[in-house]
Amino acid sequence: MKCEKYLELISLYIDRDLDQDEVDLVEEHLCLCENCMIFFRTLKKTVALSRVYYRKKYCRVPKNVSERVFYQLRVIYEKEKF
Amino acid sequence: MLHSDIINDMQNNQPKALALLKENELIERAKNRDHAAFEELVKRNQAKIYNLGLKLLGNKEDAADLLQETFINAYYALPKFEGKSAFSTWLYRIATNNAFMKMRKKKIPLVRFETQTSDSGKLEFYHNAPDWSNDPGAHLRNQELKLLIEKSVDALPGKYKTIFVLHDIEGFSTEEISKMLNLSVPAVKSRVHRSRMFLRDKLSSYFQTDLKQGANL
Ligand SMILES: [Zn+2]
Repeated sequence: MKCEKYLELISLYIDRDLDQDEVDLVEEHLCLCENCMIFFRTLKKTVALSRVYYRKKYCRVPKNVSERVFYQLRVIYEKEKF
Repeated sequence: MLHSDIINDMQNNQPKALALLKENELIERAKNRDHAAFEELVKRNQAKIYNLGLKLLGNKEDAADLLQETFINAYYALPKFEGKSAFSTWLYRIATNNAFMKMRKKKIPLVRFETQTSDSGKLEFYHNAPDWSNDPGAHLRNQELKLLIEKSVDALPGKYKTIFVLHDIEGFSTEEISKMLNLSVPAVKSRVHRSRMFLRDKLSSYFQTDLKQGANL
């Protein structure tokens, strides 16, 4: 099997989303192929860095934003009465 | 006092009583147009939707609009909610659809990649990439790297970005995402993979330049 065919399997390997046969296949190839090993390491790192860095900050909903939602809902309730 | 006694005790004190109800009880009441019950559902879920909006749309104004549209749509659609998925999954489904509409309005491509480098079938770019996985720069709290990652995720086509954020940042399973977005599980997996390839390519270029500069010193 060509390296190309391993790329998505390596992605799923990172997610532990493969059955045992596929895990064996991937691990065997990673032992033999330096390029795919580098691909695996850097892809794994890409996911890890994204998790750390991508807009991780959890924001509370600003009070005025929340109030606007409740106001709009009340406008709808009023309309429904008629 | 028993739990049921507390509930009875609080029948006259609506806000507190609602706060004690389970989600499925609130949904049943809200379906019968109990407004207070629906508003309790909004209170419990608004932060999730607002933060999803910030991640997908990148600014507070759009996140605020997304929040409002999502709950108004949810109010109208609630009688059709059958409970086949979690309520929050159902809300995410509405929210992501609204996000796609906003992206379309802003002419953000939804499925087409802007650059050729993201073509996941191309071997050369991945074979020539350096191994930067142990680069010290990748460990530090690095403001430059943070900006690069935000810029790169934002450069993904809208649907890829949404799937990447839901899967790799928010931690939803491919099955949950497939229900939210009406896509097959293999399609979700393949889009997660292509997004990662695209981002890895951006990071490889960043570290490669970094390594070269280091060598020149
Ligand atoms: Zn290989």
